[in-house]
Amino acid sequence: MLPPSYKEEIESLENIDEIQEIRIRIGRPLEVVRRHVPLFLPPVGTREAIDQIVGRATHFSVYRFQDDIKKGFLTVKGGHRIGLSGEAVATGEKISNIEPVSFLNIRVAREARVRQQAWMETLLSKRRLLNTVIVGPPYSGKTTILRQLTKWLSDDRSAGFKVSMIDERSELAACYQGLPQLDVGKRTDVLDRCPKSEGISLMIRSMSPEVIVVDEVDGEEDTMALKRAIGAGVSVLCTTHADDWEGLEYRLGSLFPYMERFVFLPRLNQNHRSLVIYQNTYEEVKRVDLL
Amino acid sequence: MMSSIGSLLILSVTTFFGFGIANNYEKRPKYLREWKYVLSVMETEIIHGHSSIEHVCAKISTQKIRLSSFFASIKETLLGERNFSLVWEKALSTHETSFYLQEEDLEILKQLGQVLGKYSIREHQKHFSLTQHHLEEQYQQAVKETEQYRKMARGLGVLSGCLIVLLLI
Repeated sequence: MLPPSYKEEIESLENIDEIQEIRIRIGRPLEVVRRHVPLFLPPVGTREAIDQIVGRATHFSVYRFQDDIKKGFLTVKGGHRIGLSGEAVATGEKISNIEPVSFLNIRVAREARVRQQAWMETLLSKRRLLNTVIVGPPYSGKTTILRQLTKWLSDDRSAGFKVSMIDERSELAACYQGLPQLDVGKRTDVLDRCPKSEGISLMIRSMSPEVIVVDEVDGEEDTMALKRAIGAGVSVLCTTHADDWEGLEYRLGSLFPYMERFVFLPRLNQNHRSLVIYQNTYEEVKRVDLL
Repeated sequence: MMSSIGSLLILSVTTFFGFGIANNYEKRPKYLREWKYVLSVMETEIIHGHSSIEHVCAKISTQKIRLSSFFASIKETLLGERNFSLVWEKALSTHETSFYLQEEDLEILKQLGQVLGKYSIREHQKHFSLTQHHLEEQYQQAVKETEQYRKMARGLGVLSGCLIVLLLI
């Protein structure tokens, strides 16, 4: 996907498996972020390079990814996400396109960071998943933990749960032509690229799930749909962006009282290395060291 | 005896050339009509089916039409490439001699290659209708030219044969 000159520079680096981001900006040097430390490499970003990357990422069919582009990202094979920025074309209050694209941020999908899985049992009660939200700032690994939890719920138990995953941004299962590229468990059904609110209702009607999994809950439509799922007797497992309880209550709105477990993740850095699970009485249930 | 066989031979050769030239005139509108058909397939697949360019090329390459080899070559080379318009242009220049098209016809197709896949569905709709419009104009012009020159080429083939025979006698 990357132009040859970029590829050569990146491949010549040590520990390339630690790369978190590759940032390309027109007229500025290539930026590679490893363990939150930026490194600037000689190739300067060009319009041609960005067009080529977007072309490859969309299989030369930008029109198929217009909804994603409007939201500012593309998901490619392997679950990696390309963030886009440049000149936004607005129709009324809403963005209808980003054209031309002048800034790219390729976020590399990471492997699971959690060493032990015993903590996951704390999310269960009487063979039922307690409604759980994974909370953390950007870059805390929410999606990775969510994927790992989904796989565990679907696979590792004696019977496993019937899980329905609504993967609006193709980031959880990284579906390619409708097939998950990442392992999300043997009893997991995936609805790819569907808006969460519509997808939740559709999956409840069609797939009779025991657990609904969604990423990045934001806005009333999402929370209302999740409340409907809980009302229908389906457990909810989701993530949301927040740094603290206040931010979390704001994000979840009226859904907040229905949640039973809160998994707080710290931002990825050297000083904080554990996730903390709370129950709905704000009491700490467990603290788990991360890798 | 020999002279009549020779005369017949000359007449046959010039007539054959005349018909050959006339046949070439007929090929251009045929190819333009086929391009118009292919564009309508592409438009349907992209606008209504939201199919990828790769899928569209693969689909057209399996059809029993003259242009299938052009789309097959695009499909084959697309995998490792980074720029679709370059692939399109390269395929056009490889196939242009077998298309019997004129420079203006090829220019219209090149311009289409520069926008394919790069924009929204709405933009594609505009580009397809513009390209169809230009190709229709070229097609009408090609039909007129064919009518005009086909008979002339055939006639000239026969007449030039007769002229040569007369001069030789």
